[in-house]
Amino acid sequence: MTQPRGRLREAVLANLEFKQRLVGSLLHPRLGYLDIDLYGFSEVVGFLCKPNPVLDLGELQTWLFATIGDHELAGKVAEVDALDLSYFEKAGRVRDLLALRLSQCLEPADHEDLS
Amino acid sequence: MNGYTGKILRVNLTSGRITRLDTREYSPWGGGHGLGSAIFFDLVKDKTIEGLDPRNVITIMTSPLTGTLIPGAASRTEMQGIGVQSYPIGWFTRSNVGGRFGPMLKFAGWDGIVIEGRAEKPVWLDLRNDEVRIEDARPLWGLDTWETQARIWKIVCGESFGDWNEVAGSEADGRTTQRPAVLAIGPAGENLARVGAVIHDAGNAAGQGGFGAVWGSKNLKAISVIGTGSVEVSDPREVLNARLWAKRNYGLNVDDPAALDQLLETSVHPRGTAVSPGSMPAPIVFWQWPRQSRPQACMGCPVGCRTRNQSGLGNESSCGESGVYAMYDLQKHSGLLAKAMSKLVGGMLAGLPLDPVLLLKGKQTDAAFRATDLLQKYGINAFEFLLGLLYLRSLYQMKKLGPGREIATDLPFDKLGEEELAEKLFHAVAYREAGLGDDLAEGFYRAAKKWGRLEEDLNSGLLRFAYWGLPDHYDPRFQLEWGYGSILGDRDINEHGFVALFMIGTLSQLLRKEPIVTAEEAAYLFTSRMAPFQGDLRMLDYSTENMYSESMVKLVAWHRRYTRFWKQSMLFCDLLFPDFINPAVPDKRGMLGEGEPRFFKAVTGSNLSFGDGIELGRKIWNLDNAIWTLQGRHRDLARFSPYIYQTPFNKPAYLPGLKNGKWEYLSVRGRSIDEKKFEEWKTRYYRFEGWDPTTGWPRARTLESLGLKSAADELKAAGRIGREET
Amino acid sequence: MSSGEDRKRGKAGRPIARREFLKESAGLSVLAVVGLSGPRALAAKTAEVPLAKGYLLVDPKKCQGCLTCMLACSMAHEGKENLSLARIQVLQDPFQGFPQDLSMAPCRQCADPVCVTRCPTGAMHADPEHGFVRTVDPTKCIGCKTCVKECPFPPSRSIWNPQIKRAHKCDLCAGAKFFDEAGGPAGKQACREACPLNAIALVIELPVQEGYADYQVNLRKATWRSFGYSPD
Repeated sequence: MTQPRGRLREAVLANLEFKQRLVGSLLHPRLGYLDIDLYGFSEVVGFLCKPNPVLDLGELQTWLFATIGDHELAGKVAEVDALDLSYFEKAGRVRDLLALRLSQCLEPADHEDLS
Repeated sequence: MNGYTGKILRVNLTSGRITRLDTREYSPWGGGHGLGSAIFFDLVKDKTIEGLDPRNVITIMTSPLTGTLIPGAASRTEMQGIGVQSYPIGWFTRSNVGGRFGPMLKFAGWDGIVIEGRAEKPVWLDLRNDEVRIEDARPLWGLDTWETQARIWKIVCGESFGDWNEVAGSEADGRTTQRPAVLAIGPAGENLARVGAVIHDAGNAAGQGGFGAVWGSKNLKAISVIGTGSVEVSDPREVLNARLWAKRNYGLNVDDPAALDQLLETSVHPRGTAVSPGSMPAPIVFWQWPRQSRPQACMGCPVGCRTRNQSGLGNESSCGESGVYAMYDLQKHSGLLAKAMSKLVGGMLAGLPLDPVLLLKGKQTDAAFRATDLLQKYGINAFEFLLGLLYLRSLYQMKKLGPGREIATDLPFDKLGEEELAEKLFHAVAYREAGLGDDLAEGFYRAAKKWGRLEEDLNSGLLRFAYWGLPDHYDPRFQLEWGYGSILGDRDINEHGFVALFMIGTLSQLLRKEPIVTAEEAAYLFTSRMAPFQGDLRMLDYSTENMYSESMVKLVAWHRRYTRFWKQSMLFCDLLFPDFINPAVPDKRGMLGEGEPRFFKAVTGSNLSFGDGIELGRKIWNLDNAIWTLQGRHRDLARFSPYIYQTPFNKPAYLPGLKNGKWEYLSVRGRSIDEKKFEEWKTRYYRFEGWDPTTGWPRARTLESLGLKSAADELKAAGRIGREET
Repeated sequence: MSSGEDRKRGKAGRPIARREFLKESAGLSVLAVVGLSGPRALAAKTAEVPLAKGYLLVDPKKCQGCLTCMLACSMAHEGKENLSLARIQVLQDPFQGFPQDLSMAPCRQCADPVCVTRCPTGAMHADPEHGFVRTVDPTKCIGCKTCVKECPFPPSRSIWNPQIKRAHKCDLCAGAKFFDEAGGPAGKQACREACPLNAIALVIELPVQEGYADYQVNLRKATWRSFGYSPD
């Protein structure tokens, strides 16, 4: 994916308003759904790292497109969504895509501080 | 000998009088809930009183199976009385607690406890075998539930544990190595919070109904019991044999890799979807638990469902309690994520040969455990806060809640996920601190009402409280018998017997794995054993076409009856029974219908059949409905919150159903309940039960045919008897 | 709750006298490290009491605290449920951290059984018909509680039965009247059969006895990790 810059990068790292949030649900195999509100791109990634995360991939595409303004990533998620895979396999690939995008948005300069 | 000890303790806190009831007078009701309802009906003359009225009576009942080897039936205790949590009426309600209180009560020689009146000053009850004392609880008042229990242990047994301690009472020279079993309230109950729970050991709670506040109103801080006596049974050999039969045929051999492999291969999900005696002894929790821990089980239970941990944090909490704070903790402490968000550091991932997912996973801290422990210690109903915190966070993000906002509070909601917020928030609730704490002590439903938000937030579903002002659980829009059963009753039924269908259907779809049983197999597996309605496969048809049908009436009626007798009166644990689908059995056929009467006979000597138990459940359900009717129940009150009717359920949910004549796991996503059709369904249901469909009130003929003439008479006197069909 | 430290300070606070080694037997591949009762008894009586031919070993880290073993023991022997009459005891503190929250107390069938050697009437004896399991002959027991007091392992594994004013103790189910299986060292034990997690095992050789830990072993198999717990 292309290196995000400027407003897109800011949107990926931003805290979101109430109306901009996504709602995810963890599906515990013996407890059912546990809902959690996701107030930013990174919270979505963190959520997708949990076991059995349930998030409507169509809603996610719309959210990436309209709220985050990441048309490229929305398209990539749509491609994954169209694959002949189980939902959880798709969710895993989407998680990897979003994680990659998040990592792209972090400052290279900050990167050196951590070494 | 038949499992009963023969006597029920009756304590009047107003007069200080301690007497006994003869269990035999009530034993036709079986035990547990049946006993409690019957005693409540007899002792509470005016059923319209409020929960905090000193005339309210609390019953704490065991079953003949309590304290025996019968799997999943040894430990539980049923608490009943008029509650304070539900809205608009605090219904006569029930809550159920595991651990070891019930069996210890039996070993002390009591089948149950009846609490009447109100003490002038704080008291606790000290039961040592048949010696009962009402003790001054002023030194305990203000202590949390854990401190209270530890203090009582010392009072009763001195400092030394680890050796035999002598216990007073009829068992002269009786001794035990066990600690007294204590039910206690915390500050929430003392301060009459409607979300007050009664806590036992670390993580057992009678949470629903607000019994903590009812105890608080009676100035009852705790009940402690230690017993060294016996529970005698009809056929000791058979009790032992039945337990070993259940282990061999329906339990998982936890050491056998082949058995585990077989379970995993044939389960939709590695942790198993079924609620069954054949489940793995893996904790049923939302949080990440430390590997240095043990499974921990209630007395006599084959499948420990929670843990005790190396840190001692989060001990014995499970289910919803474990989910209250865990996700917020993870969000707050997602390490790199948090740093990236604050833009203080970053770039760690870019260009490094590290798996970004691994780094972004985040790490749960102790905050999740500590928050839950605080709820247990303050004696707060965790389930209110499971959905309630979601609501508060929404209001905070909407800028409606916070310093200087519409719902003014200085609590640091920006620290959601940190222990600090949990401590301040739960403290504020338990001590009814002015403002948010005091509002929430009334429960989220009443708080939203006070804030003027109730209508809007129930319409939108932002406040997910589905029935009687209580939190949504398995949503009525997909798990029909759960929703219907709850709105026909008094509370979130919290009965998991059919949720395996949703789990199997949904997980098999989302994982694209073969379900443990097909939808058609499930229909046969379940309905073939649902006496007396066997053979009606459409009881398991959760399709939208069938959701208001006569078959759905039968499903709900069967569930109300099964649970009222076998589960809440015989006190089989909800997480093990009904054993419809058992993952450890090759053909997945659990012990439902075979186990219950075998166990019952071994203990009591009675030949009561499985179906007889269902019929007795019908009687108890009718008595409960008579009590609710006396309290003011009318069918017009039995309505879900508007969002259940107005907004579609928007998550994947697959359940068995018929489509073009074929069984499959159907998607029910996107459906809501049609209010008009549901009203018609209610009419069908009331008719089926022999009640008046115009009011929902039981008819005299029905009550009398069940041997409930006194209930019919009381309804007649109150002018609330159902009209007979003309 | 009796922690390991408490136990050391208890009435059994005697030094360890000898070591023996467990041989693999009965399909159990474990090395047990267990304590042994005191030298005083050894000096006087060891030679007179033949070794028992069966020993219960327990894994307190595997135990889920359900007390099913106690209920099974009581039912098998007494024909009723009574925690106080169970020959195996499990003690718990729900507020403690793992593993200090729980201890298991089975009878050790001691090599030098003080309960036997101190019994004034010979009621407590090593039963030759049942693999020399240490058990009480109720017709000889006079209810003096000597065995209960002298057992060096708190809580005493000789158990006072106030209902009949006699002592009793674990006989490995040799005399379990309400247990349909044959008991004793060569047979089955109700506690072991009933334990849902197989946290109790039987060996036929005297376990290694070193240090003060009770007859503890690791009975957690490879599957234990699958459930989410450490097998170590």
